[in-house]
Amino acid sequence: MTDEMSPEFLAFSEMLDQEDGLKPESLDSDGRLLLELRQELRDTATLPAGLPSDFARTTATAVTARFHAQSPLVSRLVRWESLLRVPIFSPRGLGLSAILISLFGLAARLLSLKMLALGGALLLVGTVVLKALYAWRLPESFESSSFRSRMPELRIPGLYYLLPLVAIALTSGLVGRGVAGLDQVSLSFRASSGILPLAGLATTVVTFLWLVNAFTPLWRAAEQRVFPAQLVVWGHGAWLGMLAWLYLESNHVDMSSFGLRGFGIPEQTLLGIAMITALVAWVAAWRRRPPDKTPWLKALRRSFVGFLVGVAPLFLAGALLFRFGLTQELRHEGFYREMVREVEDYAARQRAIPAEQNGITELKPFFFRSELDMDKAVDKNKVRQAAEVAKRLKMGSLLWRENADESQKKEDKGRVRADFLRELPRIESAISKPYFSYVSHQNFSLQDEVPNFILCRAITQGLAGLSNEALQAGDSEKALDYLRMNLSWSSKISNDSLICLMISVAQRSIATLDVERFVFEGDLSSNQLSRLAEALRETAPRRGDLKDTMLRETYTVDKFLRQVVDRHLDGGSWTKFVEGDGDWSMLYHILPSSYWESERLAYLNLQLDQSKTWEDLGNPNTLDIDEILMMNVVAAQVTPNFSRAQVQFMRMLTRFAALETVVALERYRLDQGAYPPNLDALVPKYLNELPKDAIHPNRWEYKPNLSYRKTGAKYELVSESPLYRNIKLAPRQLFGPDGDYEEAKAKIH
Amino acid sequence: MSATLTMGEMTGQERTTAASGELEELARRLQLRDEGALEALIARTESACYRLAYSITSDSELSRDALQEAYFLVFQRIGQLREPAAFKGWLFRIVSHCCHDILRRRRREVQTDFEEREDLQALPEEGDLAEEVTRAQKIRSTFAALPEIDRTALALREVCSMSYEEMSRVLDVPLGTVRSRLAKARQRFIDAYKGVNR
Repeated sequence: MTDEMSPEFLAFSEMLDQEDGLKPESLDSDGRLLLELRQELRDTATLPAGLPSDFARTTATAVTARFHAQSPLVSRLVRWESLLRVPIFSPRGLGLSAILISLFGLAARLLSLKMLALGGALLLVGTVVLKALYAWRLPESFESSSFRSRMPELRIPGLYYLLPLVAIALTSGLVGRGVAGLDQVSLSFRASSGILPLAGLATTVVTFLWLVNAFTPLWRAAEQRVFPAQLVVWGHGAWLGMLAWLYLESNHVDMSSFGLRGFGIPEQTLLGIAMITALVAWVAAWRRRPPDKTPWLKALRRSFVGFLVGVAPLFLAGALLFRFGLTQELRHEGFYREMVREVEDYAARQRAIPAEQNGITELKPFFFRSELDMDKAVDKNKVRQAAEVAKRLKMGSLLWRENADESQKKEDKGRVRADFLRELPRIESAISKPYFSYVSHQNFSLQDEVPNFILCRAITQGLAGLSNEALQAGDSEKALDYLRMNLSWSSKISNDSLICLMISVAQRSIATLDVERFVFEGDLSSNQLSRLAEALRETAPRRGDLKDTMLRETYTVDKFLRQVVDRHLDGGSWTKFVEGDGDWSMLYHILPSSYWESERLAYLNLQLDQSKTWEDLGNPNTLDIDEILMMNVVAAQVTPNFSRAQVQFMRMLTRFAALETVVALERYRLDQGAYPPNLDALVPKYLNELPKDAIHPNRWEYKPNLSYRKTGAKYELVSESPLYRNIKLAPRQLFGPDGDYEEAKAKIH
Repeated sequence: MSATLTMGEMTGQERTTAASGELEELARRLQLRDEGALEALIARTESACYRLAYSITSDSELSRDALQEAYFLVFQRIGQLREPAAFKGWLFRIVSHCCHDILRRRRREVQTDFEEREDLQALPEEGDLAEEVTRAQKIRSTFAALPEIDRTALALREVCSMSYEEMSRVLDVPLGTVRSRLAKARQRFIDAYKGVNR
């Protein structure tokens, strides 16, 4: 037999295959022989009787049985693997996708973004591992036994199926989560949050199908090698990289926690690499298109059209969700009008206060940022002097034991004390005035326009430090004077707005820190104790303060939002506020008035619904500032943390009630020689009424009294409320000899 | 005939397309593990596969065994078939591989000597007919004695009526190699036949 092939025979062989209906007589003997061979091989009559009539049925049964007789792991994997091959656009594929993507969306809703990114990564790794296991466990077969040949996914082009779907699933999850999380962006959507999880799931599924539909033509083109398949993989790799970056950014994840910064690769570099890779991939794809261009351009056009067609219903759905998610009406219309009238009357009364009777007017040059703005000042020398005064008062914080630096030189501390004492008469003068109204000076305003909180607190700390020094030096009279002055100062910042109330609560918390030490270590006379009791009574917060404050706060925000709705901010701090914040400014300009009106109504509904809570000091809502996204203008930018404020206020009410009781018990002991068996013995001579445990979440009339128990020569005065767990991480608060007093004593000694 | 894969008999483009469409649908159903799809697919392809197998093994029993192994692999690995449209070529490739496997395993046992084959011995041998039958027997015995590689190439082309492109995919060789392999197989067949005659 010949191994060399003549070109003539090669051509002859090809001719045999190409021409139909060849006649034997037109061929030579070799050709006729080959035609005979063809005839023989095709002639079914010459086939031996081979397959039994039931071959199909018996073979199918045997194959199925053998297949399931393999190890259960292999069978299961093979069965799961077939799910990956279900065509997306078949009814079964759509159903399956809907279920899987709903679960994915649900997981995205329940878990954090970080978990979502992790889930995507696990999905990717898990699929590859499953496929690897499957390939590894397969029995020997006709194909090459090499691992790579059984694992098409390990070959780069095989990643077609994986990377795009993972990228799209993650994108869909992000979009769906965004919709489901609208209640955190907008108070309106918070009010209608019941439909948002469902809308989020639906958006996830629709986005997924839409993206798959839009990109399928491009993938097909890539698969048919219209351009290199690797480019699709790189493109989606870059897409995934950008998604990961987005997740990390939106979740405020510090990249250094992954050790990336240690390698000198900050997130901007990662983003840059991802974007450059994507760009190079697509440019290369464009350059490598085939000469006739049709498949590539057609695929691109179809993808583009698919994108546009798919985006229309998404926008429509978004618009409908937006429309129906907006708050349409104001509940408590009558109450709202009454609130506006009351607050405006209050503001008018405050503005009528003559400047010389208002203590805050005297402090204005030092306490307001606007007054200390050197650039806008007419008399710069005056501003410089005011800044000096503010600086000396601010140094008061160094006198407080919590802030004292042990290594600080004594002469420095002496100078600080001297400076602080030099400016203290200004404070004494201010608090001696009959009024201390912020409204009359500044009107209601946003939280960045309140009196300087740091300075207010520093003065409180300075007074607390002076009082403590005097007590340690045995001068209880002087110590009591500073304490009474501090209580008075701390209660002066009016409750015109919630932030002012919060400042005041924080100051009173510092000012009252040493009251128990006074009582148990100060060796106070009955008269001194009476004066202390009176000071406490006068400076204690009132139950109604919270409601008044919250109504004024609500009025302030409402006024602001009304101006936003009308697109007419009347200058001053409002305008500055809008201009000063990038995100805010953008939102202010792009969101329609209907959105702001809706936000206004939703805010009023949310606030006024709680008016009974403010009045009763009942169970405060648990809405925390952390739950509200940075974009929520109303809640995050305009109002302080109103739920915590309420709890802190209630805690302060309880603290004052407890301290008045502690002083009353001490007066009783001085008179009677021992503590009373119960608190009833104190009323009415030493106490006006039994101390209410205000922080208890019951409504006012059902709040219990503080619990009192005599323990030998001492006693226990206890407040118990589940709310303590949130603010002090303890189940209860002890007052009296074993309570805060012990804690404070430990810090001093 | 329309219910079976015709191959040799099927020459019209339309019928080929229709048959491919049916096969493609069956392959899709099998990928989804659709109940009954395997039996339908076997019924649809067994005749063609058997002829291909017999062309390679020249033994009906071995062909049956090869087919059973081939259908098991088809069922097991159908998920790896990315394009159901390419099912026909994929199936023939599996069948031919299974045939070679089974031949390798049983090389010592398999009796390829034409004279000892019962099915051919039973053929009549009288007059013109006898002469014709003898010539046919010799053609087939020569074909059966060809190397596997030649038998496979010729079977795919002559029995399965595959194009060069399809053969290139099934055999996993370039188009030019298909062309030369077929020509060489034909040349060897002619040489062998003439040698027998001489």
